[in-house]
Amino acid sequence: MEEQTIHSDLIRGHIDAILLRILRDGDHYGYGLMKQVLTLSDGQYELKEPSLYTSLKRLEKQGSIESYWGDESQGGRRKYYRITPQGRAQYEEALAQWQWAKEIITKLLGGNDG
Amino acid sequence: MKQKNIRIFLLMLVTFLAYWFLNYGVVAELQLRRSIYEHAQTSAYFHNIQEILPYRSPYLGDASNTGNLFYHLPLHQYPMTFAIEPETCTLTVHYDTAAKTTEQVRENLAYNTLAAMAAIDNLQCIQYEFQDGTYCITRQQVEERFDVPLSALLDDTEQWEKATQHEIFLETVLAEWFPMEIDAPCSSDSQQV
Amino acid sequence: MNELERHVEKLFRHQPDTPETRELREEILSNLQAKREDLLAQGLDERAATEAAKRDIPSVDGLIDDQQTTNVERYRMACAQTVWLHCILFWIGTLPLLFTGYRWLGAVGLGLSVLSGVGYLLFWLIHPAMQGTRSLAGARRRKMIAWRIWGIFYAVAALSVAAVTFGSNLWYGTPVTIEGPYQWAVLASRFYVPLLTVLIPLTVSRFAALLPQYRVEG
Repeated sequence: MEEQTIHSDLIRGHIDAILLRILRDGDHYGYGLMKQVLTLSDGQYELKEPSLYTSLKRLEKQGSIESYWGDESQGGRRKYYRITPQGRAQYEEALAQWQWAKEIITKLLGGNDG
Repeated sequence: MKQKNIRIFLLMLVTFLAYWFLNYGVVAELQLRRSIYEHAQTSAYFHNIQEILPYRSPYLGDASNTGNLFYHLPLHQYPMTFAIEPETCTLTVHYDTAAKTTEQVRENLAYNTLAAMAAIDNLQCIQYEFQDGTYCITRQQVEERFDVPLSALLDDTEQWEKATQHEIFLETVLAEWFPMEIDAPCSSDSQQV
Repeated sequence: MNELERHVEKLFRHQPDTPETRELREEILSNLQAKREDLLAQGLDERAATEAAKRDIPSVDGLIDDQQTTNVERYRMACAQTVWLHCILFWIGTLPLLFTGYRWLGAVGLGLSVLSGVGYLLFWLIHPAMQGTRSLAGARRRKMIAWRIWGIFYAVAALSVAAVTFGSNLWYGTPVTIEGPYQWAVLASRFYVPLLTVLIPLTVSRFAALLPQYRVEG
Protein backbone atom coordinates (compact mmCIF):
# COMPACT_ATOMS: atom_id res chain seq x y z
CA MET A 1 0.00 0.00 0.00
CA GLU A 2 1.56 3.27 -1.07
CA GLU A 3 1.42 5.86 1.63
CA GLN A 4 1.61 9.36 0.32
CA THR A 5 -0.11 11.20 3.06
CA ILE A 6 -1.25 14.74 2.50
CA HIS A 7 -0.82 17.08 5.42
CA SER A 8 -3.52 15.61 7.59
CA ASP A 9 -4.30 18.85 9.42
CA LEU A 10 -5.99 20.19 6.35
CA ILE A 11 -8.23 17.20 6.08
CA ARG A 12 -8.88 16.65 9.76
CA GLY A 13 -11.60 19.27 10.00
CA HIS A 14 -13.66 17.45 7.41
CA ILE A 15 -13.52 13.89 8.59
CA ASP A 16 -17.09 14.00 9.87
CA ALA A 17 -18.42 15.05 6.50
CA ILE A 18 -16.25 12.50 4.71
CA LEU A 19 -17.62 9.68 6.81
CA LEU A 20 -21.15 10.89 6.24
CA ARG A 21 -20.52 10.85 2.51
CA ILE A 22 -19.35 7.24 2.64
CA LEU A 23 -22.23 6.17 4.79
CA ARG A 24 -24.63 7.93 2.47
CA ASP A 25 -23.90 5.27 -0.07
CA GLY A 26 -24.23 2.34 2.32
CA ASP A 27 -23.68 1.08 5.83
CA HIS A 28 -20.14 0.31 6.96
CA TYR A 29 -18.23 -0.86 9.99
CA GLY A 30 -15.10 0.84 11.32
CA TYR A 31 -12.41 -0.78 9.24
CA GLY A 32 -14.60 -0.71 6.21
CA LEU A 33 -14.86 3.06 6.54
CA MET A 34 -11.10 3.36 6.77
CA LYS A 35 -10.65 1.29 3.64
CA GLN A 36 -13.18 3.38 1.77
CA VAL A 37 -11.36 6.57 2.70
CA LEU A 38 -8.13 5.11 1.36
CA THR A 39 -9.80 3.97 -1.82
CA LEU A 40 -11.64 7.21 -2.48
CA SER A 41 -8.47 9.22 -2.00
CA ASP A 42 -6.57 6.98 -4.41
CA GLY A 43 -4.32 5.85 -1.62
CA GLN A 44 -3.26 9.36 -0.73
CA TYR A 45 -4.98 9.72 2.63
CA GLU A 46 -5.08 7.15 5.40
CA LEU A 47 -7.58 7.68 8.16
CA LYS A 48 -6.20 6.56 11.50
CA GLU A 49 -8.17 4.71 14.17
CA PRO A 50 -8.14 7.42 16.84
CA SER A 51 -9.55 10.01 14.43
CA LEU A 52 -12.10 7.50 13.18
CA TYR A 53 -13.45 6.61 16.58
CA THR A 54 -13.53 10.20 17.81
CA SER A 55 -15.44 11.23 14.75
CA LEU A 56 -17.90 8.33 14.87
CA LYS A 57 -18.59 9.02 18.51
CA ARG A 58 -19.23 12.68 17.82
CA LEU A 59 -21.53 11.94 14.88
CA GLU A 60 -23.48 9.37 16.84
CA LYS A 61 -23.90 11.76 19.74
CA GLN A 62 -25.18 14.42 17.38
CA GLY A 63 -27.65 11.95 15.95
CA SER A 64 -26.23 12.03 12.44
CA ILE A 65 -25.46 8.32 12.42
CA GLU A 66 -26.75 5.25 14.21
CA SER A 67 -24.90 2.10 15.17
CA TYR A 68 -25.97 -1.51 15.28
CA TRP A 69 -24.21 -4.80 15.93
CA GLY A 70 -23.97 -7.36 13.19
CA ASP A 71 -22.96 -10.98 13.60
CA GLU A 72 -19.99 -12.16 11.65
CA SER A 73 -19.42 -15.57 10.17
CA GLN A 74 -16.24 -16.15 12.17
CA GLY A 75 -18.02 -15.41 15.44
CA GLY A 76 -17.72 -12.18 17.30
CA ARG A 77 -19.56 -9.14 16.10
CA ARG A 78 -18.94 -5.91 14.28
CA LYS A 79 -20.40 -2.52 14.97
CA TYR A 80 -22.00 -1.10 11.83
CA TYR A 81 -23.02 2.48 11.23
CA ARG A 82 -25.81 3.89 9.12
CA ILE A 83 -26.59 7.46 8.25
CA THR A 84 -29.73 9.16 9.49
CA PRO A 85 -31.83 11.79 7.73
CA GLN A 86 -30.17 14.38 9.97
CA GLY A 87 -26.84 13.02 8.84
CA ARG A 88 -27.77 13.41 5.24
CA ALA A 89 -28.75 16.99 5.87
CA GLN A 90 -25.52 17.62 7.72
CA TYR A 91 -23.57 16.22 4.81
CA GLU A 92 -25.30 18.45 2.28
CA GLU A 93 -24.61 21.47 4.48
CA ALA A 94 -20.94 20.54 4.90
CA LEU A 95 -20.52 19.96 1.19
CA ALA A 96 -22.06 23.32 0.36
CA GLN A 97 -19.81 25.08 2.87
CA TRP A 98 -16.76 23.35 1.47
CA GLN A 99 -17.62 24.38 -2.09
CA TRP A 100 -17.99 27.95 -1.01
CA ALA A 101 -14.78 27.95 0.98
CA LYS A 102 -12.87 26.27 -1.84
CA GLU A 103 -13.99 28.97 -4.24
CA ILE A 104 -13.09 31.88 -1.97
CA ILE A 105 -9.71 30.50 -0.89
CA THR A 106 -8.75 29.62 -4.43
CA LYS A 107 -9.48 33.22 -5.41
CA LEU A 108 -7.57 34.62 -2.43
CA LEU A 109 -4.55 32.37 -2.82
CA GLY A 110 -4.48 32.97 -6.56
CA GLY A 111 -4.68 29.32 -7.47
CA ASN A 112 -6.30 30.04 -10.78
CA ASP A 113 -3.39 31.98 -12.13
CA GLY A 114 -1.16 30.28 -14.63
CA MET B 1 -27.46 -2.35 51.01
CA LYS B 2 -29.56 -2.99 54.08
CA GLN B 3 -28.11 -6.45 54.59
CA LYS B 4 -24.62 -5.11 54.28
CA ASN B 5 -25.40 -2.45 56.87
CA ILE B 6 -26.63 -5.07 59.29
CA ARG B 7 -23.48 -7.12 58.77
CA ILE B 8 -21.25 -4.11 59.32
CA PHE B 9 -23.15 -3.23 62.47
CA LEU B 10 -22.75 -6.76 63.80
CA LEU B 11 -19.05 -6.60 63.01
CA MET B 12 -18.82 -3.39 65.02
CA LEU B 13 -20.64 -5.05 67.90
CA VAL B 14 -18.35 -8.06 67.88
CA THR B 15 -15.32 -5.82 67.73
CA PHE B 16 -16.63 -3.86 70.67
CA LEU B 17 -17.07 -7.02 72.71
CA ALA B 18 -13.58 -8.20 71.81
CA TYR B 19 -12.17 -4.78 72.71
CA TRP B 20 -13.98 -4.74 76.03
CA PHE B 21 -12.93 -8.23 76.91
CA LEU B 22 -9.32 -7.71 75.94
CA ASN B 23 -8.92 -4.27 77.39
CA TYR B 24 -10.72 -4.61 80.68
CA GLY B 25 -10.42 -8.32 81.10
CA VAL B 26 -7.23 -9.81 79.80
CA VAL B 27 -5.05 -6.74 79.91
CA ALA B 28 -6.18 -5.82 83.41
CA GLU B 29 -5.48 -9.36 84.52
CA LEU B 30 -2.00 -9.27 83.03
CA GLN B 31 -1.31 -5.92 84.64
CA LEU B 32 -2.44 -7.24 87.97
CA ARG B 33 -0.17 -10.22 87.70
CA ARG B 34 2.69 -8.02 86.70
CA SER B 35 2.24 -5.69 89.61
CA ILE B 36 2.04 -8.63 91.97
CA TYR B 37 5.26 -9.97 90.55
CA GLU B 38 6.93 -6.62 90.77
CA HIS B 39 5.86 -6.21 94.35
CA ALA B 40 7.31 -9.61 95.12
CA GLN B 41 10.60 -8.58 93.62
CA THR B 42 11.00 -5.98 96.35
CA SER B 43 11.38 -8.69 98.93
CA ALA B 44 14.34 -10.96 99.34
CA TYR B 45 12.05 -13.86 100.15
CA PHE B 46 10.35 -13.77 96.77
CA HIS B 47 13.01 -12.34 94.57
CA ASN B 48 13.73 -14.03 91.22
CA ILE B 49 17.50 -14.12 90.98
CA GLN B 50 17.35 -14.63 87.20
CA GLU B 51 16.66 -10.92 86.91
CA ILE B 52 20.21 -9.96 87.81
CA LEU B 53 22.10 -12.60 85.86
CA PRO B 54 22.57 -10.31 82.84
CA TYR B 55 24.52 -7.93 85.08
CA ARG B 56 27.27 -10.25 86.16
CA SER B 57 30.68 -8.76 85.63
CA PRO B 58 34.23 -9.46 86.75
CA TYR B 59 34.89 -5.79 87.46
CA LEU B 60 33.23 -3.18 89.57
CA GLY B 61 34.17 -0.29 87.28
CA ASP B 62 31.09 -0.26 85.05
CA ALA B 63 28.79 2.18 86.80
CA SER B 64 25.74 1.66 84.62
CA ASN B 65 25.96 -2.08 85.03
CA THR B 66 26.08 -1.73 88.80
CA GLY B 67 23.11 0.59 88.72
CA ASN B 68 21.13 -1.90 86.63
CA LEU B 69 22.08 -4.65 89.00
CA PHE B 70 20.68 -2.87 92.03
CA TYR B 71 17.57 -1.77 90.17
CA HIS B 72 16.68 -5.41 89.87
CA LEU B 73 17.22 -6.22 93.52
CA PRO B 74 15.00 -5.66 96.57
CA LEU B 75 14.90 -2.09 97.92
CA HIS B 76 15.07 -0.70 94.37
CA GLN B 77 11.80 1.04 95.03
CA TYR B 78 13.69 3.62 97.07
CA PRO B 79 15.69 6.34 95.30
CA MET B 80 19.30 5.20 95.04
CA THR B 81 22.59 6.80 94.22
CA PHE B 82 25.90 5.03 93.81
CA ALA B 83 29.55 5.78 94.36
CA ILE B 84 32.43 3.57 93.31
CA GLU B 85 35.86 3.68 94.91
CA PRO B 86 37.99 1.79 92.41
CA GLU B 87 41.16 1.44 94.48
CA THR B 88 39.54 -0.40 97.33
CA CYS B 89 36.74 -1.83 95.18
CA THR B 90 34.17 -0.33 97.45
CA LEU B 91 30.65 0.36 96.38
CA THR B 92 28.54 2.87 98.26
CA VAL B 93 24.80 2.63 97.79
CA HIS B 94 22.80 5.51 99.18
CA TYR B 95 19.15 4.68 99.86
CA ASP B 96 16.94 7.71 100.36
CA THR B 97 15.03 6.23 103.27
CA ALA B 98 15.49 5.46 106.93
CA ALA B 99 16.67 1.97 107.76
CA LYS B 100 14.53 1.88 110.89
CA THR B 101 11.30 2.29 108.93
CA THR B 102 12.19 -0.08 106.13
CA GLU B 103 10.57 -3.49 106.30
CA GLN B 104 12.89 -6.43 106.48
CA VAL B 105 15.81 -4.13 105.82
CA ARG B 106 18.42 -6.53 107.19
CA GLU B 107 17.21 -9.53 105.22
CA ASN B 108 17.03 -7.48 102.05
CA LEU B 109 20.48 -6.00 102.57
CA ALA B 110 21.92 -9.45 103.24
CA TYR B 111 20.33 -10.75 100.09
CA ASN B 112 21.52 -7.79 98.04
CA THR B 113 25.01 -8.07 99.42
CA LEU B 114 25.26 -11.71 98.53
CA ALA B 115 23.80 -11.12 95.11
CA ALA B 116 26.06 -8.16 94.34
CA MET B 117 29.23 -9.88 95.51
CA ALA B 118 28.35 -13.06 93.67
CA ALA B 119 27.65 -11.07 90.52
CA ILE B 120 30.65 -8.75 90.63
CA ASP B 121 33.80 -10.70 91.26
CA ASN B 122 36.10 -8.00 92.53
CA LEU B 123 33.64 -6.18 94.73
CA GLN B 124 35.35 -6.06 98.14
CA CYS B 125 33.17 -3.89 100.29
CA ILE B 126 29.71 -2.39 100.24
CA GLN B 127 28.53 0.60 102.23
CA TYR B 128 24.81 1.06 102.59
CA GLU B 129 24.02 4.65 103.48
CA PHE B 130 20.61 5.37 104.92
CA GLN B 131 19.15 8.57 106.19
CA ASP B 132 19.71 7.37 109.73
CA GLY B 133 23.08 5.66 109.46
CA THR B 134 25.43 3.52 107.43
CA TYR B 135 26.09 -0.20 107.26
CA CYS B 136 29.32 -1.63 106.01
CA ILE B 137 30.07 -5.16 104.97
CA THR B 138 33.13 -6.76 103.46
CA ARG B 139 33.54 -9.62 101.04
CA GLN B 140 35.56 -11.48 103.59
CA GLN B 141 32.66 -11.53 106.03
CA VAL B 142 30.42 -13.03 103.37
CA GLU B 143 32.90 -15.54 101.98
CA GLU B 144 33.47 -16.96 105.45
CA ARG B 145 30.00 -18.40 105.32
CA PHE B 146 30.47 -20.40 102.17
CA ASP B 147 32.68 -23.23 100.97
CA VAL B 148 32.44 -22.25 97.35
CA PRO B 149 33.43 -19.01 95.60
CA LEU B 150 30.52 -16.58 95.68
CA SER B 151 30.10 -16.44 91.92
CA ALA B 152 29.45 -20.16 91.85
CA LEU B 153 26.26 -19.56 93.80
CA LEU B 154 24.75 -17.91 90.74
CA ASP B 155 25.59 -20.78 88.43
CA ASP B 156 23.01 -23.01 89.98
CA THR B 157 19.64 -21.82 91.22
CA GLU B 158 19.51 -24.67 93.72
CA GLN B 159 22.72 -23.49 95.29
CA TRP B 160 21.41 -19.97 95.41
CA GLU B 161 18.18 -20.96 97.01
CA LYS B 162 19.97 -23.03 99.59
CA ALA B 163 22.28 -20.16 100.36
CA THR B 164 19.56 -17.59 100.73
CA GLN B 165 17.01 -19.69 102.49
CA HIS B 166 19.20 -21.44 104.96
CA GLU B 167 22.27 -19.37 105.39
CA ILE B 168 21.97 -15.66 105.31
CA PHE B 169 18.66 -15.19 106.93
CA LEU B 170 19.69 -16.82 110.15
CA GLU B 171 19.38 -14.34 112.98
CA THR B 172 22.99 -14.87 113.99
CA VAL B 173 24.22 -13.98 110.52
CA LEU B 174 22.04 -10.95 110.25
CA ALA B 175 23.04 -9.70 113.67
CA GLU B 176 26.70 -10.01 112.79
CA TRP B 177 26.51 -8.41 109.36
CA PHE B 178 24.08 -5.65 110.11
CA PRO B 179 24.10 -4.80 113.79
CA MET B 180 22.50 -1.64 115.17
CA GLU B 181 23.65 1.27 113.05
CA ILE B 182 27.32 1.86 113.19
CA ASP B 183 28.62 4.71 111.23
CA ALA B 184 31.74 2.97 110.00
CA PRO B 185 32.67 3.71 106.45
CA CYS B 186 35.05 1.19 104.94
CA SER B 187 37.10 3.80 103.13
CA SER B 188 37.56 7.52 103.39
CA ASP B 189 37.47 8.54 99.74
CA SER B 190 34.57 7.90 97.45
CA GLN B 191 33.82 9.14 93.98
CA GLN B 192 30.31 10.18 93.29
CA VAL B 193 28.94 8.26 90.35
CA MET C 1 -5.61 -13.23 17.09
CA ASN C 2 -4.63 -13.63 20.69
CA GLU C 3 -1.98 -11.00 20.44
CA LEU C 4 -4.50 -8.44 19.30
CA GLU C 5 -6.77 -9.41 22.18
CA ARG C 6 -3.91 -8.89 24.57
CA HIS C 7 -3.14 -5.54 23.03
CA VAL C 8 -6.71 -4.37 23.48
CA GLU C 9 -6.64 -5.75 27.02
CA LYS C 10 -3.64 -3.57 27.72
CA LEU C 11 -5.29 -0.52 26.21
CA PHE C 12 -8.24 -0.84 28.54
CA ARG C 13 -6.42 -1.96 31.62
CA HIS C 14 -6.88 1.23 33.60
CA GLN C 15 -10.31 2.01 32.27
CA PRO C 16 -13.43 1.38 34.32
CA ASP C 17 -15.67 -1.47 33.32
CA THR C 18 -18.81 0.17 31.96
CA PRO C 19 -21.13 -0.92 29.14
CA GLU C 20 -19.64 1.86 27.05
CA THR C 21 -16.05 0.74 27.45
CA ARG C 22 -17.01 -2.87 26.86
CA GLU C 23 -18.63 -1.98 23.54
CA LEU C 24 -15.67 0.09 22.49
CA ARG C 25 -13.34 -2.78 23.30
CA GLU C 26 -15.31 -5.11 21.09
CA GLU C 27 -15.45 -2.59 18.31
CA ILE C 28 -11.74 -1.82 18.41
CA LEU C 29 -10.84 -5.49 18.51
CA SER C 30 -13.05 -6.39 15.57
CA ASN C 31 -11.64 -3.54 13.51
CA LEU C 32 -8.07 -4.51 14.34
CA GLN C 33 -8.82 -8.08 13.35
CA ALA C 34 -10.35 -6.94 10.09
CA LYS C 35 -7.27 -4.84 9.37
CA ARG C 36 -4.99 -7.71 10.10
CA GLU C 37 -6.93 -10.05 7.83
CA ASP C 38 -6.75 -7.45 5.12
CA LEU C 39 -2.99 -7.03 5.44
CA LEU C 40 -2.49 -10.78 5.38
CA ALA C 41 -4.54 -10.98 2.20
CA GLN C 42 -2.27 -8.34 0.70
CA GLY C 43 0.75 -10.54 1.26
CA LEU C 44 2.24 -9.34 4.57
CA ASP C 45 3.42 -12.05 6.94
CA GLU C 46 1.60 -12.63 10.23
CA ARG C 47 4.13 -10.76 12.34
CA ALA C 48 4.10 -7.61 10.21
CA ALA C 49 0.34 -7.61 9.86
CA THR C 50 -0.22 -7.88 13.60
CA GLU C 51 2.35 -5.21 14.37
CA ALA C 52 0.87 -2.84 11.84
CA ALA C 53 -2.59 -3.33 13.30
CA LYS C 54 -1.34 -2.73 16.84
CA ARG C 55 0.66 0.33 15.88
CA ASP C 56 -2.33 2.22 14.64
CA ILE C 57 -4.01 2.41 17.99
CA PRO C 58 -1.42 2.90 20.75
CA SER C 59 -3.83 4.15 23.40
CA VAL C 60 -7.46 4.94 24.08
CA ASP C 61 -6.85 8.34 25.64
CA GLY C 62 -9.49 10.77 24.57
CA LEU C 63 -11.77 8.08 23.23
CA ILE C 64 -13.49 7.36 26.47
CA ASP C 65 -15.96 9.77 27.86
CA ASP C 66 -14.71 10.32 31.30
CA GLN C 67 -17.57 12.25 32.75
CA GLN C 68 -20.13 9.99 34.30
CA THR C 69 -23.62 11.03 35.18
CA THR C 70 -23.79 9.85 38.72
CA ASN C 71 -26.41 9.33 41.35
CA VAL C 72 -24.37 11.46 43.72
CA GLU C 73 -26.58 10.91 46.74
CA ARG C 74 -26.33 7.16 46.65
CA TYR C 75 -22.67 7.27 45.72
CA ARG C 76 -21.91 9.42 48.74
CA MET C 77 -23.84 7.06 50.95
CA ALA C 78 -21.84 4.14 49.62
CA CYS C 79 -18.67 6.10 50.36
CA ALA C 80 -19.86 6.88 53.89
CA GLN C 81 -20.62 3.22 54.43
CA THR C 82 -17.11 2.36 53.25
CA VAL C 83 -15.58 4.83 55.69
CA TRP C 84 -17.61 3.30 58.51
CA LEU C 85 -16.52 -0.22 57.59
CA HIS C 86 -12.87 0.76 57.26
CA CYS C 87 -12.92 2.50 60.64
CA ILE C 88 -14.15 -0.75 62.14
CA LEU C 89 -11.41 -2.66 60.33
CA PHE C 90 -8.88 -0.21 61.71
CA TRP C 91 -10.31 -0.78 65.17
CA ILE C 92 -9.94 -4.53 64.75
CA GLY C 93 -6.36 -3.93 63.66
CA THR C 94 -5.65 -2.12 66.91
CA LEU C 95 -6.84 -4.98 69.11
CA PRO C 96 -3.51 -6.84 69.13
CA LEU C 97 -1.88 -3.62 70.27
CA LEU C 98 -3.86 -3.60 73.51
CA PHE C 99 -1.06 -5.61 75.06
CA THR C 100 1.59 -3.09 74.07
CA GLY C 101 2.32 0.54 74.78
CA TYR C 102 -0.10 1.46 71.95
CA ARG C 103 -3.21 0.66 73.92
CA TRP C 104 -4.62 4.11 73.31
CA LEU C 105 -5.02 3.29 69.62
CA GLY C 106 -7.79 0.91 70.63
CA ALA C 107 -9.68 3.84 72.09
CA VAL C 108 -9.03 5.81 68.88
CA GLY C 109 -10.47 2.89 66.92
CA LEU C 110 -13.55 2.86 69.11
CA GLY C 111 -14.04 6.60 68.67
CA LEU C 112 -13.60 6.54 64.91
CA SER C 113 -15.95 3.60 64.45
CA VAL C 114 -18.69 5.21 66.48
CA LEU C 115 -18.26 8.63 64.84
CA SER C 116 -18.26 7.26 61.31
CA GLY C 117 -21.24 5.06 62.13
CA VAL C 118 -23.16 8.04 63.42
CA GLY C 119 -22.12 10.05 60.39
CA TYR C 120 -23.38 7.32 58.11
CA LEU C 121 -26.63 7.18 60.02
CA LEU C 122 -27.10 10.93 59.67
CA PHE C 123 -26.49 10.59 55.95
CA TRP C 124 -29.14 7.87 55.85
CA LEU C 125 -31.65 10.15 57.50
CA ILE C 126 -30.84 13.34 55.66
CA HIS C 127 -30.24 12.45 52.05
CA PRO C 128 -31.11 14.91 49.35
CA ALA C 129 -31.70 13.20 46.04
CA MET C 130 -28.97 14.46 43.84
CA GLN C 131 -27.48 13.76 40.47
CA GLY C 132 -24.38 15.16 38.97
CA THR C 133 -21.37 14.38 36.87
CA ARG C 134 -18.28 12.90 38.34
CA SER C 135 -15.02 12.33 36.59
CA LEU C 136 -13.92 8.70 36.57
CA ALA C 137 -10.37 9.63 35.67
CA GLY C 138 -10.33 12.09 38.55
CA ALA C 139 -11.30 9.37 40.99
CA ARG C 140 -8.62 7.07 39.56
CA ARG C 141 -6.04 9.80 39.80
CA ARG C 142 -6.86 10.44 43.46
CA LYS C 143 -6.52 6.75 44.11
CA MET C 144 -3.05 6.63 42.56
CA ILE C 145 -1.94 9.75 44.40
CA ALA C 146 -3.19 8.29 47.70
CA TRP C 147 -1.21 5.09 47.16
CA ARG C 148 1.93 6.94 46.16
CA ILE C 149 1.79 9.23 49.18
CA TRP C 150 1.15 6.30 51.47
CA GLY C 151 4.01 4.32 49.96
CA ILE C 152 6.41 7.16 50.67
CA PHE C 153 4.97 7.66 54.14
CA TYR C 154 5.36 4.04 55.13
CA ALA C 155 8.84 3.77 53.68
CA VAL C 156 9.88 6.80 55.76
CA ALA C 157 8.14 5.46 58.87
CA ALA C 158 9.69 2.01 58.55
CA LEU C 159 13.14 3.47 57.94
CA SER C 160 12.80 5.72 60.99
CA VAL C 161 11.82 2.79 63.16
CA ALA C 162 14.72 0.77 61.81
CA ALA C 163 17.13 3.67 62.36
CA VAL C 164 15.98 4.24 65.93
CA THR C 165 16.01 0.54 66.77
CA PHE C 166 19.11 -0.63 64.96
CA GLY C 167 20.92 2.64 64.40
CA SER C 168 23.37 2.34 67.26
CA ASN C 169 24.09 -1.25 66.30
CA LEU C 170 24.89 -0.23 62.77
CA TRP C 171 26.99 2.74 63.87
CA TYR C 172 29.09 0.91 66.39
CA GLY C 173 29.15 -2.37 64.54
CA THR C 174 27.64 -4.31 67.40
CA PRO C 175 25.47 -7.29 66.57
CA VAL C 176 21.71 -6.99 66.82
CA THR C 177 20.32 -9.04 69.68
CA ILE C 178 16.66 -9.56 70.22
CA GLU C 179 16.19 -11.38 73.46
CA GLY C 180 12.98 -13.24 73.69
CA PRO C 181 9.43 -13.00 72.40
CA TYR C 182 8.63 -9.80 74.28
CA GLN C 183 11.25 -7.85 72.38
CA TRP C 184 10.11 -9.36 69.10
CA ALA C 185 6.58 -8.20 69.88
CA VAL C 186 7.74 -4.66 70.68
CA LEU C 187 9.76 -4.50 67.46
CA ALA C 188 6.90 -5.88 65.38
CA SER C 189 4.42 -3.45 66.89
CA ARG C 190 6.61 -0.49 65.90
CA PHE C 191 6.42 -1.55 62.27
CA TYR C 192 2.80 -2.56 62.52
CA VAL C 193 1.36 0.69 63.85
CA PRO C 194 2.20 2.88 60.82
CA LEU C 195 1.06 -0.02 58.64
CA LEU C 196 -2.48 0.45 59.96
CA THR C 197 -2.72 3.68 58.00
CA VAL C 198 -2.95 1.60 54.83
CA LEU C 199 -6.67 1.83 55.33
CA ILE C 200 -6.52 5.41 54.05
CA PRO C 201 -5.40 4.61 50.49
CA LEU C 202 -7.64 1.55 50.59
CA THR C 203 -10.60 3.80 51.29
CA VAL C 204 -9.72 6.19 48.47
CA SER C 205 -9.31 3.18 46.16
CA ARG C 206 -12.72 1.95 47.12
CA PHE C 207 -14.23 5.36 46.34
CA ALA C 208 -12.84 5.09 42.83
CA ALA C 209 -14.08 1.53 42.41
CA LEU C 210 -17.57 2.43 43.63
CA LEU C 211 -18.09 5.33 41.24
CA PRO C 212 -18.94 3.35 38.08
CA GLN C 213 -21.57 1.45 40.06
CA TYR C 214 -23.62 4.59 40.52
CA ARG C 215 -23.84 5.79 36.97
CA VAL C 216 -27.18 6.95 35.73
CA GLU C 217 -28.21 5.52 32.39
CA GLY C 218 -29.39 7.65 29.56
